[in-house]
Amino acid sequence: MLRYCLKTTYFRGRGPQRIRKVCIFETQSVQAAPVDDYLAGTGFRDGVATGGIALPSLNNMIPVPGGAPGNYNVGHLRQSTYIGRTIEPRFHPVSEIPVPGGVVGANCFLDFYAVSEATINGHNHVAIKCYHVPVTGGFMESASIAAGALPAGIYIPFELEYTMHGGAEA
Amino acid sequence: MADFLITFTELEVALLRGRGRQRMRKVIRMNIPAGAIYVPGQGFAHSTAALPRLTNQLLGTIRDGTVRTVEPRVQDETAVGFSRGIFDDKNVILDFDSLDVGLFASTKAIGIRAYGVLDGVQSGLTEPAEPVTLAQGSLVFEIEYTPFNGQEG
Repeated sequence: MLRYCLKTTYFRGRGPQRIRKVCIFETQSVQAAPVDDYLAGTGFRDGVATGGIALPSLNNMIPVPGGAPGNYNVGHLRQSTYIGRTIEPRFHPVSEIPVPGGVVGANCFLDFYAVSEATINGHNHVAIKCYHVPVTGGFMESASIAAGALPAGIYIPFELEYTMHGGAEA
Repeated sequence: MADFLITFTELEVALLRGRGRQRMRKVIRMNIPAGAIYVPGQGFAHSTAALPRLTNQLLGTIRDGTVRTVEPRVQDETAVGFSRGIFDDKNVILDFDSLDVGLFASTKAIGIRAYGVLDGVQSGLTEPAEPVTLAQGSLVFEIEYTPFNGQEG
């Protein structure tokens, strides 16, 4: 799952330095075959993550201490002060996201779920979930989709606002 | 009959000060007591059906404000005070409705709406048709605004 940083804004002042980033996930394919999937209870997953399919890592979005080459070693997320949001429109056509069993209505709803400094291989991860109305009634999270079945080219924008761990200003 | 009043707890206050307007941001928890009600078309309300007001949460009057419910917006219905059986599944979507700033008064009413699939109705997401008495619950939202005299050079 590719990630792009669309915009970075710095809020600097007398309090902690806040950084706001607008990022986007793009589901991708490898040699014309999709590689990403959706796991109920977890969210959209990166099919080519290091170590196997996993939640998308924010490693290239939020630098980590002593990070790998290519990362700027300028600190890491100060816990409990981040805010994460998906960005409108949150309703997406269900035709973009295959759902086993079928759904009622044309739309599904995306919801930001978590960003955690509880690390997986030292990385911050993000989860975005998808909900819909199934033909059997109710309002439920999308069912799991087999790995490699999620079409390429689904764009999911989200925003992070956080304070770098050493970002306090006098 | 006692009134069951919704109250607020400030979770985080941040000042975003720079070369533009001074922005204030607060993350606030809405405490929903047992006996409060959900009014379709309005949102979570006191037992008097009046929307809760942010009188003690905003510093004076505000120039312009934005407000969001904080994600995850999809909540278990019991977490925000609904009983099982009102909706056809356990999830509801919270959506912020309005922040009345037009009069620059000290009483800004706030409405947060809940949408789900009603029991037996599967055509889409909607509110309960009638007012619903709630059990205890809570939800979180965020307001960001500029105090009326908050301009910085």
